[in-house]
Amino acid sequence: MAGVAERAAERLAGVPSYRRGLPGPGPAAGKLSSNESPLGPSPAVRAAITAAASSVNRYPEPESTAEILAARAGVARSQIVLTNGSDELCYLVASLLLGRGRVAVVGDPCYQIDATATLLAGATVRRVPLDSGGHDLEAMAKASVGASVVWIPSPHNPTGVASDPDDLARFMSAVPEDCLVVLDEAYRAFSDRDRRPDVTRLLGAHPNLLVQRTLSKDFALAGLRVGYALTSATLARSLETARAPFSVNSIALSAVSAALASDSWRTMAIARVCEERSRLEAALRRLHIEHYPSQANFVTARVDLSLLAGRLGEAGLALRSGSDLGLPGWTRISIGWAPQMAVLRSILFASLDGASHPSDMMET
Amino acid sequence: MLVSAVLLLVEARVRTDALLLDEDLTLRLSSRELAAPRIGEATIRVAWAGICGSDLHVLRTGAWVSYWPATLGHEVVGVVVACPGDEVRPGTMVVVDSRVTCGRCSSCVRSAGTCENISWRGESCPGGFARHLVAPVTSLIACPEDMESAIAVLAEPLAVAVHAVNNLSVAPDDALLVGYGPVGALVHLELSRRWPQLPVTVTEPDHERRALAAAFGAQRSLDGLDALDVSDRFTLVVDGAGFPGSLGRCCAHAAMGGTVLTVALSFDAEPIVPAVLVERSLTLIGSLGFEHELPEAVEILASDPDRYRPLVTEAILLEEAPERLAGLLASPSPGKAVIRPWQE
Repeated sequence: MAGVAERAAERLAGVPSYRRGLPGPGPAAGKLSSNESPLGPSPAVRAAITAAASSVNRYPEPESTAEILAARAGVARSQIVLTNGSDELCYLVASLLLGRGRVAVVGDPCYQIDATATLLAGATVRRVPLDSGGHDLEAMAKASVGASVVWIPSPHNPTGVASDPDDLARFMSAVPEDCLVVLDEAYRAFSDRDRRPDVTRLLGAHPNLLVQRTLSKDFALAGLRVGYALTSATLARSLETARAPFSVNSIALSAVSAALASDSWRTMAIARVCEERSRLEAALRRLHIEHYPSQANFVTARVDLSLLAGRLGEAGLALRSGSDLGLPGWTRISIGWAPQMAVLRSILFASLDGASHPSDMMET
Repeated sequence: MLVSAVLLLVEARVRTDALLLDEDLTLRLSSRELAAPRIGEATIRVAWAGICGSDLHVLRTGAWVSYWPATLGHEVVGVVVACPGDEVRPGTMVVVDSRVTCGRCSSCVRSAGTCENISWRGESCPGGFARHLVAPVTSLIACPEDMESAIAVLAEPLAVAVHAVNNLSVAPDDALLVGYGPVGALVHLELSRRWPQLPVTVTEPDHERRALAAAFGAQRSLDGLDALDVSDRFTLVVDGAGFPGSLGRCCAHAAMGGTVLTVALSFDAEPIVPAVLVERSLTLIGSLGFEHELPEAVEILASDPDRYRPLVTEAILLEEAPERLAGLLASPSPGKAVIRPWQE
């Protein structure tokens, strides 16, 4: 009979482990590998986190935060579930709706956690190749027949391509009602307004829709792990029952409340990311480097990371290899602070433009 | 790398890539001769150079420049690559003091910041819009080892803001900031660093700058002084705009016994009624540059870099600078734009 460790290992056979983005060798601002917010939390959020430290002897009280988030999303309080990062939600969905003999549909390549949660639950992953970096929604709708869950990040990770809202609406009508669609909107805030689906309307029309959100990106709270689900009240109740009762901690809740109280910092930070994304895309076009049209806080380009590695290391920058994300030969570049992005442009030009690297000073 | 740089400096004539401004105000990327550093000087490889509003003024007018072609840039951080007198260890990251003082006048004896003949790096000698510059070691402020250079580049304008706030003799109860360019924003950050609860109102026509003010915690961000009620009065009014008539209007919004502090360079005559100053018992302060505040500014930035990070809104490679500076002349960046002369 196999021992405990062997049984655990057996259970994990074929389940990919999560590979996180690594920091660079220098200051944290050089980490362009995990799609984090370059400007960090607002002064008000920092103050709220400090203030919340004095009450960590109490269990978390999520009610007011959940109410505010629900109101912002235009849904009832009963339709929202707070989670420890949106990743907890993936595992909750998988534990409730997936299992041996069940199937989940993903784009190929997909967001890593979606596949991991599916496989860990014992279900099978049905992969539908992306079309120009975006979901092939017609093919995914066909693949959803007989499936229990469809995982759809939009904008997609790792490509940044957002699905057309009209196509998403048609897709929802085509998916069987007994199949849950998980629409992951982690990067919604960085997308153009006409690329943001009306989720309130979609939720009203489709009880088999769950919208997944995170406060790790535009709210700059990745380290505090807060996410949430918007879905039918019935499914929300099930998710609440299944989740650990205090999975979102009190400091995180205080930070979220402070962040929700004023949008000015977040709005500014989003605008900066979009400006820097445009500058990076312009540089990639100048270099004739293929890249996906991103609606997220990263750009994925056909760049051999090994060609940049030396200069990136010297400059203290870290990017994410596409090999980690199902896109070998590509590199995912998180949008960082303006100075880091200028340094990155300089490295791209020096490494990929075919130009010789001039000496520091020229002797005459 | 450092050894080869030092060897190159043994040669009397070396050149470095630089932005050159000709007397006809043509801006071009070329190279300029780099003098070999003497004892008491150091050669600095420039990591970042901030673009000041005064740089844009020089690009438009050629004002204050005493040599041609000029290389502007007085907000400089870089790494020492050669120092023949060994006063500064090569490899040290330094902020360069922007002031070029005569060292002879009676004011210089009192404080470098009050030199009667003061000029600024870039305007009287080559500045930081170049891959290298040579500067006296006495003008170098060493940065903490782990400090980010792109944060340290804010030290010079922050010193200006700290100096301006140091001029206040009493703590304000509230403040009105007129104009929210980089110095206005830094004055805001310095005021709120000292008095975190100080209510600050900002007037600024540019919506992106107003958004920055709101993000930095301004209680109100208005698009101009006209949006204020005539009865709105503040114990501190800071003129960071310098448009025609701004100083007089700032005085009109100062509370009884209040202070009007101007950091804006305006060359228009100002219609100020002296009786307003007298009857309202106002203090009017003009603040130029800084005195002893540059090391303090480095410390402030190093102690809380994230607080200042959003102020750097654009970073430009030296190669991109000629075209982008032309764009900034038409439409300035909402915050501080910085140039990256350092080549990766």
